[in-house]
Amino acid sequence: MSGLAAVRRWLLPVPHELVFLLAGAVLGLWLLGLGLLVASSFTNLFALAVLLPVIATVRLVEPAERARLRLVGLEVPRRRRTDPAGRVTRVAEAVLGPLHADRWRYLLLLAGIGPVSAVGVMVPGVVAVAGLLDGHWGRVDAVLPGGLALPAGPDWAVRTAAAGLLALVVLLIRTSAAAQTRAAQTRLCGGADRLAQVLAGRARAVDAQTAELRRIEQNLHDGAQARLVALTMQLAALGRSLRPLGPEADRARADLAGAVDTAGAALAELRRLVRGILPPVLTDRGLDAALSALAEDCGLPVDLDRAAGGRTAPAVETAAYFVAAEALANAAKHAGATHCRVRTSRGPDTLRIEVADDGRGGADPGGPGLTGLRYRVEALDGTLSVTSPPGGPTTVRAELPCG
Amino acid sequence: MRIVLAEDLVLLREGITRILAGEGHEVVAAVADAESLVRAVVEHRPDITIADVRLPPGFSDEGLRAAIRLRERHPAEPVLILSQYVEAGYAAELLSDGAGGVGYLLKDRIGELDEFLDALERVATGGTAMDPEVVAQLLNRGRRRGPLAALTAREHEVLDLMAQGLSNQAIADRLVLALVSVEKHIGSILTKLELPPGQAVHRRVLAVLAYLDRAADRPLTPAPRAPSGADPAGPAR
Repeated sequence: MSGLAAVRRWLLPVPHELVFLLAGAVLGLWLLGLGLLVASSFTNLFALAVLLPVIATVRLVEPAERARLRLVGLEVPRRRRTDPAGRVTRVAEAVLGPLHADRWRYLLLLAGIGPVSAVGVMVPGVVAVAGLLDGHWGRVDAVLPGGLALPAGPDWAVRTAAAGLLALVVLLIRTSAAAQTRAAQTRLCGGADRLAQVLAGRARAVDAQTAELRRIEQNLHDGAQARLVALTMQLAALGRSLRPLGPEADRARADLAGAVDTAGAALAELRRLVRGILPPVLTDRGLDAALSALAEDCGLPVDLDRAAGGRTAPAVETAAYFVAAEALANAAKHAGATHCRVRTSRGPDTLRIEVADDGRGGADPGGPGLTGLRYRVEALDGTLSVTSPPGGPTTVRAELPCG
Repeated sequence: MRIVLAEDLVLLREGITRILAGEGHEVVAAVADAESLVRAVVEHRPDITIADVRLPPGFSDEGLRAAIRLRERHPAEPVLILSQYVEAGYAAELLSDGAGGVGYLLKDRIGELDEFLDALERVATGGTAMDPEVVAQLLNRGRRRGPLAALTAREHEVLDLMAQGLSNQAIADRLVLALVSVEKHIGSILTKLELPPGQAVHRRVLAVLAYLDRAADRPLTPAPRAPSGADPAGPAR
């Protein structure tokens, strides 16, 4: 049943795509006609001038093509010139439409591929339909040039062959339409629109990464960590059963205590690891609570100045957290700072975080730590600035969009 | 003791139940989410409730929130929170009602069975059990300045165990000291921190934890000082 539904779903766009391909042929022929016109009157300036209104219809091809692409669900944004144009260019564009090479290349492609696809689909399509309706190839043979004829056969054989051909034609319609759509997508959705697509894709990737980290944290919590905790409980139970034994079990007790310590150390390491990838307090309670915890752990007195306001996107909170974590770690480890100040503030659609220390400065913005931080911030379309003159102090500032 | 247990992972729920049963305690209800936890406590009125911080449906800190809600409705209801990681901030929330009978421990402390049972007992009888890691987090921030810096190394050790909720005798056992010298250290600590002496153990623990939390929470904003008071820490920059 679901197989049948899948086939139906697959066949559903075929009528639209057929119209799409035929419209492509019309547009292609239109362009070819214009091309011939220009070529034939190329040496005759007078003819060119007379024909100019006709040639200028080339500018109508684009809106028509956009309408055609809408048939298959592709929305092509209108392109506007972003660089200043000279007078000649402006006049020429007024007549012929945008002059950029991409557009001409696309129109050339359309002139070729539009008619070819349509003919490639229509000819076998008509043959198949005729065979299917008539049960013989009579009508097809009549139009074949040079007395050629398709192999004759019994009625059922002709209809079977025609049905097979029709299936192939449907496949051809689907693939040609997909190919044309893809060509339009790569050639027309370029520039600014492509950039918007890339940015949206990157934002999705960052969100997905944050979600993935949360998933890893949860898997560790419910998996490896839970099993190690269970192990310590089993060891405790074992210790209990050793209790009635006398001093001869001292060795076993000592080994058991060692095993409990080892499991405890493994758990401590896992906790440190989880803190390093995505601290649970950040997901549970948000940036403020996570910054407080960070301040507790960093080994330096930290002055926290937190902005009012609720939670922001997890990816933004995570980036801000790691900016603070890295900057505080640097202040404690490398800058010899005696205290730090972490300040967050919220604009209408930005989150700013600033970490300032009183250390000796000289931080290398190109070092691995700060570079990693920069990548993290820039992946969110944010900016990271580091000022760290020799002698100090160091200030690390990140501005993160959060809409 | 009659115990209500809330833990969403079957492996651990059964493990804890078995350990407790082996020690002669009775787990009267073992539930897997915060809603059932509150219902079970109201229904069974146990001697102590043991709850995982992270419970369904949100898997963040529902267990902790349920415990706080519970203690709002039934003040001083003994609650021991277990977790796979500890945050001093969560401890402060648990302690904020000022009543005893709270504990907050890493789950792996169950491996140290005697200490775990001791902590369970303390919480059930209105005492406090704070994970050493929580105390370390608090001490870590408060240590560098102010009265905490004036404590001797030994006094620090005593303060650490005191903050975990141990009785004087237990501290003496742990540090292999005579009871009188532990009492002397405690007196000296309370004097240095300007905390009132001679209180019941759980009041004293709360006072110490509150002190540490205060010290930790405002690490760099010096309290407004009297004009004559010299600032021992010097100007902020």
